[in-house]
Amino acid sequence: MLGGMDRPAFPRRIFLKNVIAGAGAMAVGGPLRPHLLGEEEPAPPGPYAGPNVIVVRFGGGVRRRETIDPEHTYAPFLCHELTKRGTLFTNMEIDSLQGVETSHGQGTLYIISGKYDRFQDVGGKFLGQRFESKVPTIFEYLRKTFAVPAHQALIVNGEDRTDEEFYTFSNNHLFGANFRSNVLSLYRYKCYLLRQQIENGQWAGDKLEKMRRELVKLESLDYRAKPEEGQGTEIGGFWERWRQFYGDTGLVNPRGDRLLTELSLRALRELRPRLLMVNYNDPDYVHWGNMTHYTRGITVIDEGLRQLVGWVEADPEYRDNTVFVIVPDCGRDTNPLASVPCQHHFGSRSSHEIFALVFGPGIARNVVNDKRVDQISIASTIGRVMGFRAEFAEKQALDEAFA
Amino acid sequence: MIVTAEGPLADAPAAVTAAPRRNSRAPGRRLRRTFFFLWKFYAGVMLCLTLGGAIFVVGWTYRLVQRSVLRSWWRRSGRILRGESFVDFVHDRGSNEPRAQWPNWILGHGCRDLLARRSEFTFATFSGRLGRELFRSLWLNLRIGVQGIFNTFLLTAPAGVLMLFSWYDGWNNSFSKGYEQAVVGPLTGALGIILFIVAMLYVPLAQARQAATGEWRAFHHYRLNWRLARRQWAAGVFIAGCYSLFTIPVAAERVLPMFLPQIHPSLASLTNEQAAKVLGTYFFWGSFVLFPLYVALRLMAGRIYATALLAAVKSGAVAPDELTTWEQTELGRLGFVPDVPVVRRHPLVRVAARTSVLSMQGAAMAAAVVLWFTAIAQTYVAQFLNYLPLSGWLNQPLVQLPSVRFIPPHLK
Repeated sequence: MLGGMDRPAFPRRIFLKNVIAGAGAMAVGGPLRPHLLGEEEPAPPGPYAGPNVIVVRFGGGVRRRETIDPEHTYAPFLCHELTKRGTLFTNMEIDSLQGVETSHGQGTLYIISGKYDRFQDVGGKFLGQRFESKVPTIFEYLRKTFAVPAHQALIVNGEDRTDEEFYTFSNNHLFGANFRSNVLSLYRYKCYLLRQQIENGQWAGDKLEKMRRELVKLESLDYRAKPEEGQGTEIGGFWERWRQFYGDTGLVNPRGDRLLTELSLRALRELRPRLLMVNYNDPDYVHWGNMTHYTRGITVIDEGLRQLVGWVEADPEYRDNTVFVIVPDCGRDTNPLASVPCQHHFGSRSSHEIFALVFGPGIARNVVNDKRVDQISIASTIGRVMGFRAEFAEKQALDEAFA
Repeated sequence: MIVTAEGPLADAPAAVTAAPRRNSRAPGRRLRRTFFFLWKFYAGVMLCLTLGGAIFVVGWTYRLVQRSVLRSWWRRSGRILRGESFVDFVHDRGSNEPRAQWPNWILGHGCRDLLARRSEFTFATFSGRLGRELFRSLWLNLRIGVQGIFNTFLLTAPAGVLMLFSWYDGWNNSFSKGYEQAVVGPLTGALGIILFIVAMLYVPLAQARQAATGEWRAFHHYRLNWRLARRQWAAGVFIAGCYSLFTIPVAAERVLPMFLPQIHPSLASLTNEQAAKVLGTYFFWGSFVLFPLYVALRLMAGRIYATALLAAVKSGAVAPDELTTWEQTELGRLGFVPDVPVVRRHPLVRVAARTSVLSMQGAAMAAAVVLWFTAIAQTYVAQFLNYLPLSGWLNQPLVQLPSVRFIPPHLK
């Protein structure tokens, strides 16, 4: 049979070579693929012309009762004022799928990645909370789609939350470190300050060695980061101005969640972020049994919201050009048998129950939506607002939010 | 005759007919004893449901410890070899001693005898005595309980107050990020823990001595009590371990309400009234665990005290004039108080023996410290999991008042 075959249209050796090359190109993917397959290279990301987005994580774990319930709220600005300006989702939930936990790190990643996942500490540490997202975050989507520099895709973190320094980028091979966001936090300031003090020769001898070791320890918190790259010129300048204003001691600047508000306001003024996430967390202190820490924490966040909204309304570039997305990381328990019913968020029904408020240009005003929606819809919703496709997010955008 | 610091307690008549001995093995008697055991146990469980009721439990348990100590000494006296029973020994006093059986909760132990002899008294005298006897045990349980809990709180409450303050202030300071005072909370907490541990190296044996002697001052014979505690260093480690071990189910009982709605989701939507009822039932059953554990620890401490004192008296380490009246009386009756001074060993022999004992005592004390730390650490864990504002720090149920029932104020 083979002896009577016609000669093939092209030599077998060339055919096999092309197959192997093509398979290799498919395996490598990414930037090499179009080159090998003769396709055109993707266009470099264009400038971003959409609205700014400020995501406020109303954390660490709050119930609807003390936030959006008008009878019991400790956040009057949010509840009585901001809800009229946009669309309030009163029935947002964190799904009860196997492995989906109701906690701060997990909730934050659900918000910014748009995907529920079971997260484990990267070092396998017992009760460790260092998680890496397997799918890109909204910051990576934004920076890959548009030419937004790192210092304009910001996360503002609290001083107790060094584990959340890991959320700047995912370990997805199509995104990752090249499209990372930047972080403003006291921890980052300490790294900057220590580096400056060492470089300025503030210490010598054993003390210098000790400080160098301290710096290495601080900067190695995120094993993926390259300390030699630093935080960037713009962030360095930001910290220098912060240092000139508040000094070196760390005792003069605002503290707790008020610090996050101050960092955010300064960042808006100096760095002009296009996407900013503020990770409030102090209500979580109720874990230790004092209910007033919870209610005071909510009020402090509410006051922060008032300042952020006030600043945005006063700035010509941000006014009428900024969408706010306010969403908790998780709920809290409502345990009628406990002395402090909302002391924890141990996966009860109530700890899955949250809310979301979206307001700004293009967002429906004074709408209350009580349809059950998912926390992971936030990522796609932000994508719709900003014009990028959150391709790995598992839920569509919240259509009801858009005017 | 019951001897207390205030003098004889019972108004016993000059000549008292000993109560008739009963055949304890008769089936009817066994059934009766079972019934009374169950009643006394149930009463103890019910009284553990409130802090006020727990005072009666303290007093009742102290009276039980007194009986246990006396019985322990009696066993070692050799009288059993003469065919004497403990009941015989107790009845030889010539009156119905409460220590022949477990103490009552309400009725005095002389009720039956009084009723049997009512023809000997005028109506007025009989009525008066009956009135006193009807509630004598209730009164004793209250009086001894108040004395007991007062002394215990005297040594343990400061630690509780410090721990309460440290938790409150420490987390308040952490919430407001008061770096400048960051050390206050942890330091105060550490001091509270140290005070608690130091107190607990002493308190169990002091409680047992107070219980056995019926004298509240005996709790404060620090030198003698400490000497006795050091002589029983191994037992001290054992009882610290028991406290730590028994704290586990008690702490679990405190903490479990935090997880009940996850176990039974329907509990998450209870009304306040329903929740209060559920908690009431929960703590009722929980007291079936707490009450026997509390009693067991007190009885253990009583046995340690009984052994320690007996050995010390026999060896001459404790002179008869250092003892309380009750100890002198009872040990004397049992023939343990020596008539002639005990010959002491040569000083060099005593030093050599003491050196090896000192190192063992040191190791034992270190072990006891670690075990008491594990006991108090469970309080911290329990407080984190289910915070009780005051009682969580100020009352350790196995040490102070045996009650963990807590209905949150918003449910009442």
